[in-house]
Amino acid sequence: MTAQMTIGAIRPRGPGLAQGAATQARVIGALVLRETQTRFGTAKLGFLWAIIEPFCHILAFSQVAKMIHHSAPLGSSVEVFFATGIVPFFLFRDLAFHLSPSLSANRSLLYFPLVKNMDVLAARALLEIATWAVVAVLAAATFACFGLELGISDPLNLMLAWGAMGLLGTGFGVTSAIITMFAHSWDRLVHMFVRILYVTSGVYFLPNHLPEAARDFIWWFPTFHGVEWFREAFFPGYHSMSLNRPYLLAWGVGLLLVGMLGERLLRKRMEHE
Amino acid sequence: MIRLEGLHKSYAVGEQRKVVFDEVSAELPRGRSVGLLGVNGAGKSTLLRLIAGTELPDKGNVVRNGRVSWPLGFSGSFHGSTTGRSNVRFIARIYGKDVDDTVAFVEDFAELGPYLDMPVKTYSSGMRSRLAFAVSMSMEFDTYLVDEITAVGDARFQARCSQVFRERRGAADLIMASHNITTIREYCDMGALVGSGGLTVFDRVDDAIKSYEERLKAS
Repeated sequence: MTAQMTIGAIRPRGPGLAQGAATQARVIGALVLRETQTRFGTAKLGFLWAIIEPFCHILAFSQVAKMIHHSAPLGSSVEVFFATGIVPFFLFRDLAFHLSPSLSANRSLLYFPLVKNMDVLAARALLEIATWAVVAVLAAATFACFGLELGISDPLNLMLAWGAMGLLGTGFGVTSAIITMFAHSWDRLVHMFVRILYVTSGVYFLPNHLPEAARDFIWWFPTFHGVEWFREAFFPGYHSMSLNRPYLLAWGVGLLLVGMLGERLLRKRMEHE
Repeated sequence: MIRLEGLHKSYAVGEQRKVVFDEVSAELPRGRSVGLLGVNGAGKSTLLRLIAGTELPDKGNVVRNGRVSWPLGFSGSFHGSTTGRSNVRFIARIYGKDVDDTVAFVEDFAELGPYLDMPVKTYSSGMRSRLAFAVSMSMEFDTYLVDEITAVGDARFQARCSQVFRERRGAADLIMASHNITTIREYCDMGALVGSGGLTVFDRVDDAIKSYEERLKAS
């Protein structure tokens, strides 16, 4: 006995690969719409806050830097220099913050058998990467309006750097989401990790200005390479001495694989509330 | 038709694991409506979630022929901070249904009026179940999984539910978990007893009820 297909009938997650992919795309699309709505629709300040927050960080640190007579290590304005660290780092941060609790806090979504864990994670990751891309463009436009020099040297490479940071954040977020399902306090550790990374990722400094021992230490943090990559693509003539792209990509791919494998192995033990 | 093949499911209860289903194999045929009976905690809701696919068995398979609903009941499947309307739109989208048609059906059936545009967390449990019921009725499933839904909602809504189910009886099957024997007898022609790690299927609902009552007396 097969399912009768009537006009307007629901399409089940079918056995065919193509049909499965179509269903998954449909589910992820619906999830993105819903996430957009809950994040930016109901809270009136939703999207505005996404813009205001990084600007506050940029302005506050620029002000401090100016007061202690620091000039921009790269380019001609401290604001743009800090922005090239803060914006890609916040992409990583928000992927980590929003993916980690998504499976443990969103159990009601998984009430619908069509919605799989990975769909929930993919939808959030896509929304986060797109949101921060919009914030990045708005930030660049704002700087241009105020007459600050941008001089993006390699736009394609800049997008690759963006993708690499997105991959790292997604990998970290997916792995964290699986861990958080079984150990709720992990989510709190994520916030601590991210705060440490904020300091050690070169958001506010260049590695060339550090003593060798410090440079060797921060080299181990993958987010540092994300920021360096972004700056190398952004500032004409800047060549990072420390940047190692395969190291960053290996972290991103590795974490994503660990997360996906973990989900596969543990999905049977994910219990309903 | 739903076929359970060597289904095994256990949960961690403190230090131990409680086995809810131990190598259960059974077939719930097309064209029949099955009432699931069992004492509290026997595993009726778990079985419905396994059949729906919202929970996965430790071992074994669930074979589904036709479209199976999610388990309808009063446990929350809605996003509380968004409106009833946007919840309905979301469910229509994931199931690939026309969004406007689905909303129109739900507006008419659930009779929530202006509440459809209020966040679901402001709903009473009766309103919530009306919404859940209306959405699932708009989906044309072949098998509906129902978890004690008739226990909620006022008499008028219950009457509408049973009317719709009777209309759907020809096209759709029902697998219903309930403590209420009258409800089971009203809706189901087959019965299954859940408990002590197994599932016993009875071809006649009255035999299942009799066996359930004997088990209640024995305990």
